[in-house]
Amino acid sequence: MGRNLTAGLSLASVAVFVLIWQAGAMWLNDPLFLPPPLDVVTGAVELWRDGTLWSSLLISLLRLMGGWLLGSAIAIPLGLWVGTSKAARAMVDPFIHFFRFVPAIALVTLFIVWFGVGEASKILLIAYATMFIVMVNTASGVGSIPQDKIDAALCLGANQRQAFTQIVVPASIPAIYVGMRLALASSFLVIVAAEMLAASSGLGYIIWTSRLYFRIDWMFAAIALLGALGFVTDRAWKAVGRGALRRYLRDTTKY
Amino acid sequence: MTASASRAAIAFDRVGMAYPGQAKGSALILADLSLTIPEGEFFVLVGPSGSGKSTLLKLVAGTAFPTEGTVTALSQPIKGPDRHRGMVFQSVDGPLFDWLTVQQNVGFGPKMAGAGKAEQAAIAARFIDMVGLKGHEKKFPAELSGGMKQRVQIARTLAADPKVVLLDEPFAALDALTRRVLQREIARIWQETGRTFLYVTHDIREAVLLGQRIGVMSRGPRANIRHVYEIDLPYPRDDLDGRFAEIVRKLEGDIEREASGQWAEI
Repeated sequence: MGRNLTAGLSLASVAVFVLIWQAGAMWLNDPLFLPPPLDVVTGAVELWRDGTLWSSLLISLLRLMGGWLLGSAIAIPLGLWVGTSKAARAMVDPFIHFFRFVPAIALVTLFIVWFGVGEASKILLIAYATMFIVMVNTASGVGSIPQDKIDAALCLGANQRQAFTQIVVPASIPAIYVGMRLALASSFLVIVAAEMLAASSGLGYIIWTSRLYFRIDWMFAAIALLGALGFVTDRAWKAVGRGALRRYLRDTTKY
Repeated sequence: MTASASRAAIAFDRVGMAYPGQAKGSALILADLSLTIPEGEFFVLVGPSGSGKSTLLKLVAGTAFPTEGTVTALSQPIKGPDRHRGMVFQSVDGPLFDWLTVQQNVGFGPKMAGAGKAEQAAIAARFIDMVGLKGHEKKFPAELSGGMKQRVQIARTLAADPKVVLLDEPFAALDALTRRVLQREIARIWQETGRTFLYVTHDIREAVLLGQRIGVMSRGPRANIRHVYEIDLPYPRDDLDGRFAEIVRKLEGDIEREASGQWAEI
């Protein structure tokens, strides 16, 4: 399929969805249950004009990026270490496979108690949610490097340190990249939970407080924006994959 | 080369090898194996699958160690992998560095040896030319055919300037036509470089096409080299030649007799 055709199909399917939504909302005629798309746009414009939407979008994005990058920065070296060293794996594994199943949402209150209601608790919570996905992906990426690749480097004169920096690290980049992409999605899950419980800004905060004013249209606007933010960040990460990381990824960026 | 022709490039002395994690003496893959390969020789090892041919290469590469006996390279014990013993692997995709261009793959050995960018490129260019990949320097491995990938492996191994080149069924995964072309080229490359080649295969015709001497391994466990044949045919060899066919037939007969006890069990 051509690029124009696929783009056209995507656009058409979104348009059909909006039309069905409009028809459904008109038929139900209950804006508190399902506001029509136009109401949501009006509500969004209202929030945009008074600056709430813009600042919320920005603050949510900053928290997401901060937590995602911090979590990855901790997880990547840890994953490389666990993937290469059996001893490290034995030590770290019990914790990884325990905390991996404790969802970040369960820790929201605890993190607020520990790190306060400020930015630290939210960023750390997202870092927590990101870490395990990136770490497990990185470690399994290291584990799936063919032994021939490492042996080849050693037989070409690389020492152990060079085999790690020149072979293990670049050969793990596809797994790290995919792990970070998955972690990005799960960090959206956490941000909303964190902003609902303790925040005076952010998209999650709008979603949560709209109910106090019975402004379901604001809620819809924030939800739509959250989805759009996810879409855009995912596309941006894909662009990084096709750009700066291209030589490492090749087949990884197809979907 | 001529002055040191009598020196042993590789020497196996009563080598025994057990599967890792098993008690000494039990279920040796290789047992009491002795073999000396002089510098500059093209030595081919043939034997059935599972006879421990690849294990033997790993012992020379330094990625595995014998349970019994010693393996030496130029009279030095082998302590681990280094650039003096290069390896061309059977796997077509595994050993190449996918994120590096052909030129960077081939320049990897010189880079590890501390060569500058210009020197890396110059050495890489020489060996890329030798294996007939001129014009493909900037391509990535994913853009190459299986035969071209094996050419990259050969060039990369030679560019690290090894004394011994180990080849583990390097063309077994290729189609028949590509294999024939590369078999002829590897003989030429050996003659051009004058290095010691230790080549493993299960294809007797390929062994006779390439080897100055051919060692025939018995089926494991406790595999050993039972016979070593001197192949007194000039290079480049012609597999349609009468004497060639005669040698292949004789070898096949010997190997079948050797293996007949085991074949009967199948």
